[in-house]
Amino acid sequence: MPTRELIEPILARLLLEPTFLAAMRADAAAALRAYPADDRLLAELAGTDLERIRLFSGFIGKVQHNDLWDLFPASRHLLRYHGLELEAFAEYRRIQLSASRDASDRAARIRSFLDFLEPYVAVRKPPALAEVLRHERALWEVRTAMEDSADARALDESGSALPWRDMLARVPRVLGPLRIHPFPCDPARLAAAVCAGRYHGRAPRRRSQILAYWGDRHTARLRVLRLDALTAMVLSQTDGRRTVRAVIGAARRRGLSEAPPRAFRPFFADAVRCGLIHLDAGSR
Amino acid sequence: MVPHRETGGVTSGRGSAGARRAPAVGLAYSDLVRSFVRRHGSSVDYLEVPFELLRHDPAVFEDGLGKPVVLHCASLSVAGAVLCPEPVVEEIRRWAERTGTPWIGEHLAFVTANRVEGGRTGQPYAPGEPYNIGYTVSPPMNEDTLERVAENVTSYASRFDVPLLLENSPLYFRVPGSTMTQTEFIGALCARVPVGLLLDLSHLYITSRTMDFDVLEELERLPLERVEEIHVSGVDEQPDGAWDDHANRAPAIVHRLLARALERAAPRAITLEYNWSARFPPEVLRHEIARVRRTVARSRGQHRDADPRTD
Repeated sequence: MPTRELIEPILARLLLEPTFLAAMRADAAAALRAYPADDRLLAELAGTDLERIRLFSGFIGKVQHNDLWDLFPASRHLLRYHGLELEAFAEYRRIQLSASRDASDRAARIRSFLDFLEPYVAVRKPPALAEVLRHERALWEVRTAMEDSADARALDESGSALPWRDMLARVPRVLGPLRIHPFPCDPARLAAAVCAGRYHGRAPRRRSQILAYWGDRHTARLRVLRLDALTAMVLSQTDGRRTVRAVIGAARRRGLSEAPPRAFRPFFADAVRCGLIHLDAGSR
Repeated sequence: MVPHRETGGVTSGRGSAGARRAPAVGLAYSDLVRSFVRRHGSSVDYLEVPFELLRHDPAVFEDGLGKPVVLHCASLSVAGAVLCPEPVVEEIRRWAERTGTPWIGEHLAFVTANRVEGGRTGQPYAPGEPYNIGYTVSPPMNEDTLERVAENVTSYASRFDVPLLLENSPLYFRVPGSTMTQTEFIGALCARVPVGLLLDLSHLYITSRTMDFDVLEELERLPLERVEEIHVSGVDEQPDGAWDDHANRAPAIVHRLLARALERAAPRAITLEYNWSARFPPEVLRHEIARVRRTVARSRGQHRDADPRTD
């Protein structure tokens, strides 16, 4: 093969094998040693701007994820704002290329990128991005779960009126997809400001809150609820296996020891009435 | 053939000798564009649709687009050593016939490359298969590539009933092995084969940023008389350079390049490529179409002043 015909295969490899690109950046001569290239071509290849090729590879990855951003507009805006968009995709390229041959469905591609992006952002700490990303991801996950099992069901409030003793023996089960996240600020307001072009780089105003993203199957709507600490704790212990009594016990052991067991009854009654949980008959 | 309209539309011929029709103004296809055309159809003359999309989802065409189609393509890899597989070429030919496209736009680029044994580092990409980059990459600009592109273009063109146009790719880095500029390469290619050009103004601007040249001066060096179609799209200006961006409106320099190009070129179509985001604001799309039409009208006014034969 004429040595000039090596250029395209080597460029292609640089764009498709991040490990080869890394090897070239570390020691170009060593990385190219196995190629039958003449000294002139080797020198030219070694002199190529590999950082630009790394970014171009990231750019290709970015373009191949264009459909992602309609779901995460504020996260995208902030990535660009902080100058991290191409850099993030260049970093992600290794994962993208190793997964692209077996993960072709859109939800899997999105999940893979988000799984990469969350720790990436956590390390770099660009203001506001972690909160907005967590918010938009929760919205997406709940919407996706609702689409996957769109079984609207009638509201069954009967459990809310059970005698306390009977209620304690029931097994609470969350109805519909639910994600609970604590935030140091109001992420929905922040995301809206970002999308409207009203974010200018400052850290968001502190307003600690716990949000539940709930796919309400009775109304087929995604609802974002602000939770108090007790509610968040109880919901986090509600796994569809424990009884109400066991859930209350676990919540009290994890910081709600001051609350007497009966203090939890209004929560369970309200949650049943609004369709957030169902109280299944427990096995005796 | 795509039906001709008196104002706008895309045809395969240039009309009567010496006459210049106003170029049609179209949009690169996306779901957003499809719904935009339903509402504002009269502002759009045609839709440019990627072959790869039609191949993957023929319903895009079968469901009716309501506009003439210009076929765009990123599969031929005209600048590469790996030829496009024959069944794919045949599919392109069939889609060209079916859509009635007046031409096929393709990138002056390679998408695939031969695998050459060069040692292993970590997990290799798709062992045993040729490299498929999944994106068009500018080749080294040298005499060997020129010869190959001329051969490939001639060979592919013989397979299609409509002309093949070549689009200038953006250069994001200096391609090793290059002995000439992209403009010199395109000029030499046009001198060698009767190929038309698809001039992407954003790509030209991006290349100027990467290669550090004056884009307006470089535009003048291109064989603009070969330009049949022009692309207009956004540019993402980052500290590390300029990048193609079909999710934002074209910057002022791209519109300035369009006005300058229309002084010498007589393209038959101008395509706005705003197809990377479903959130691209429809009002901006309308504004951009109107802006391009105003630029066209101004250039035609100038031409009428200069040449009374033009319509």
